[in-house]
Amino acid sequence: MLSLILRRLIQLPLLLLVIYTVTFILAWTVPGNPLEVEGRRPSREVEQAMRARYNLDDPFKFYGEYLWGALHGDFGPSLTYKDWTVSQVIGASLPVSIQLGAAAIIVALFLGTTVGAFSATRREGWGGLGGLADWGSMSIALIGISLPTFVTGSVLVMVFGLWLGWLPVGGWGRWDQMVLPVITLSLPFAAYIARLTRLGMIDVMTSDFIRTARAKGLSQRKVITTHALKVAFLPVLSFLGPAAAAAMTGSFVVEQVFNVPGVGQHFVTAVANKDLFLIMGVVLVFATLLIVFNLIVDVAYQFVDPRIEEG
Amino acid sequence: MRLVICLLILIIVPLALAVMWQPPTPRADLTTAYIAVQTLDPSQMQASEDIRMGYALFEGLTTFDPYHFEVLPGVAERWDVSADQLTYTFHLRSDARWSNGQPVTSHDFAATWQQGMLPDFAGPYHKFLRHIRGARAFSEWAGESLKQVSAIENDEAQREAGEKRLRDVSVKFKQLVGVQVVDDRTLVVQLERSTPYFLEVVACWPLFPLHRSVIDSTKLDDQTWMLRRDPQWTRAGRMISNGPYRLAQWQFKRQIVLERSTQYWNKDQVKLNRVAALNFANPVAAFNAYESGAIDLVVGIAVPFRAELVAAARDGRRPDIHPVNNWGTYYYTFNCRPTLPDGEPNPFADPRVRKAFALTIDKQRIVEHVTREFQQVAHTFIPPNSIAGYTAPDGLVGTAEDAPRLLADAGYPNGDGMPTVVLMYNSGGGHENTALAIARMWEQTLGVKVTMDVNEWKVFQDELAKGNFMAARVGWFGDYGDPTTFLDLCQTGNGNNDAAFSDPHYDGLLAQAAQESDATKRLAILAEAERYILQDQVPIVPLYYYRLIHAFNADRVQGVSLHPRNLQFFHRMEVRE
Repeated sequence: MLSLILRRLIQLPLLLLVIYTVTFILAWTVPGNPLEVEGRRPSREVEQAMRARYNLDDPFKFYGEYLWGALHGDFGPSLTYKDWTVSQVIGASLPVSIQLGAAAIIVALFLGTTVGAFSATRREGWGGLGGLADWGSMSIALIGISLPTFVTGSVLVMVFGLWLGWLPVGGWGRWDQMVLPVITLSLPFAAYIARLTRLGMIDVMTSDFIRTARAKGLSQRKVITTHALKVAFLPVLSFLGPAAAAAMTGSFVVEQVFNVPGVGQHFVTAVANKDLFLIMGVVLVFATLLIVFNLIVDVAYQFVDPRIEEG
Repeated sequence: MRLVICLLILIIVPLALAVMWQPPTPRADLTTAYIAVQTLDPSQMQASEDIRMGYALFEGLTTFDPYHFEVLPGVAERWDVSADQLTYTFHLRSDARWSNGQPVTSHDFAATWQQGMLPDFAGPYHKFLRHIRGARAFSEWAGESLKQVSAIENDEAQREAGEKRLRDVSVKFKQLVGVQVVDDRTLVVQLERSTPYFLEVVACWPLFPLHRSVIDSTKLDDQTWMLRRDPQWTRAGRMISNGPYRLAQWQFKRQIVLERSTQYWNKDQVKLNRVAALNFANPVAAFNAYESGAIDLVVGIAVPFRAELVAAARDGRRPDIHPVNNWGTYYYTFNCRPTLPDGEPNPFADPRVRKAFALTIDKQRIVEHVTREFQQVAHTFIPPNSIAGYTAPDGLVGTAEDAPRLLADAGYPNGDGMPTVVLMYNSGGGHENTALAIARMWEQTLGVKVTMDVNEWKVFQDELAKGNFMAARVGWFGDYGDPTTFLDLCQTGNGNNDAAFSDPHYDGLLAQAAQESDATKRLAILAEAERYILQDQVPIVPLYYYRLIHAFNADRVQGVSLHPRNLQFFHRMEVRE
């Protein structure tokens, strides 16, 4: 266990250096003048002064000095948001993305496991209706996976924000502003978790230890919650790591639809504006986050499933 | 399982606390929206949303009536102009105050302008200061001395040279620049040449004063030895401003909250106590918020369904949607360079070819059937009735029937011998339909072949600068109330002269106007210059004037300016419940 964590921690800086270098090459070769704003070019002397100031004429100097600064937590100034440093931009938006992503994953987890377990255990019974319930919930799950978030998001905005007026159409900070974006972001994950849980449950419910539990006279509910779910949950857990990372990084569309001031928009606008410092900063911080997340999931997995041994 | 539950609880509890923590705030008197504010430092402003905030937070010596664009007294209660119109003496009002209660003095203006002229700070509109006598010479000295400092190899010697330059700045400013502080309330400004619109320039954001604590925070950067200012002074709680509002809150990418300044000299005329501007990364989200009632005013809606909004406004279904002209022209520019970047001769170097292509465009058809926004069709470069005293010339004379003959005169009968025309535009923003429609008009009437070159914005700008196109869609918005704000674009060597149009007669007219001290005669010369490019040379074809679409209930929200120059002053607005 310890050696795994150690090994991963040693890999971390190397991996980041590779990511930094690739991002740097891509960002540097994106055509366009980073000093130009909204089609107006600065005058010659102004441009010269700025280029000298930010090492924009010397890729090697930029590469080295930026890396040195980043190691000290200084990601440089934002060329677009002149009054803010990149660290401030990330500091203001990253917590929002993490809140949104974490909330969405939690909702997805409860929703997904409940629907999945329900669907798996109701396949027989209720006359012929049980199969229908299973079929119905799985169809909904499939739709949930297939529908892009900008569709579900826009529909939710229209229905709950504009027609019914129950919830605000956008913004971030109050609980009521969180409801729609969190639900929108959680739906595809919930649907996937539901399918995973259902498959796991069907598998588990026919196994010997469940039969034993039933034979002991345990109630159906007890059998499911204390015995079956525990094992059926394993594939869900391994899905959670990448899912959490995807929810926190991949919420760009949801952020756009619901006007959530997260970090996703900076990925896109920084590239469009060729804001070199912001591109590099956002990528570095996110890459670190992703790597750490995956490490946590790997460690957690070992705790839960003793069958996995470090190799 | 237990572990997972523990983990979940560990995540949920702080999350819930963080979310519940924010106490609900009462709604502001006026809530509006913005897409991107880049800076609140007036000397660095360039985008219209930033400038709108600038006018709420700061005030220059003069200011505007945003409805008719007359110049009004600002920090200066009155001014004298010398007979030769070269010397302006501003008398500052005694009750002009910074938001911390200190008086606004003529020193503040002189010190701010001194820094504004330095290449070290490189404000996008620093050229506004160039109207002042000696500003150019001072800037050039500062640029040259910076170059000398940079060239020094030895670190210690470089530091000393940098410090010496810093000391010299004030001395040189006094020597070279025509700005004299007579006393705290009297400022004398001498101009390079007679500038009839100088009082307007003085009302603009690059000439707003900055508080001396900001000016004094300037330090030498220990790498480049340039002067640097900590940009963090624009945070709420730190910003000291002199305008009708003070900055109560600036949450990055969330909102800007303005509160009426208790120190502003004209505070009794300010009706709205609290203005909140919410940040929307996406214009559709902003419009949704307006539709849901969360915001009261959207200035300049940029949604993809603008045409539908205009239609709803035109047939009276949406009286709260206000389409108005903007102070900008949407136009096509022709590459006037003698050869193309690949070395081939450029057919558009011939004005007859440009005229033929210009005459072929049916502008009315474009605004009615292509953009469907019913913009006002443009025959002039400068939007009409936007500059007092300026009589616009007639536009291009002729019809599409004349076009084939002109093209034949230039040596391309029925388009024979014309290379494939490369029409460039930038992706996004709905330029494609217009470009396709125009290409079809050219192909049908002139018998030429047209190919599209679509580029993402930054690439598009790069290709424009390099001259890698034959025709391109561009646009321009005026900066100050004088024809030169548009006409300079066709001057030889202008940084935004995408056509690379270079004509001694035209440059001569602009130079002649610059020397002319009689305002009426000067405007007549400029009108002739505009006529010359519109009718004779045709480096550009104006298509229509940009359309602005505001959304607000006019019975409730009052004081929104519908003037094409689109300066919105929150301190002139009112909300009736």
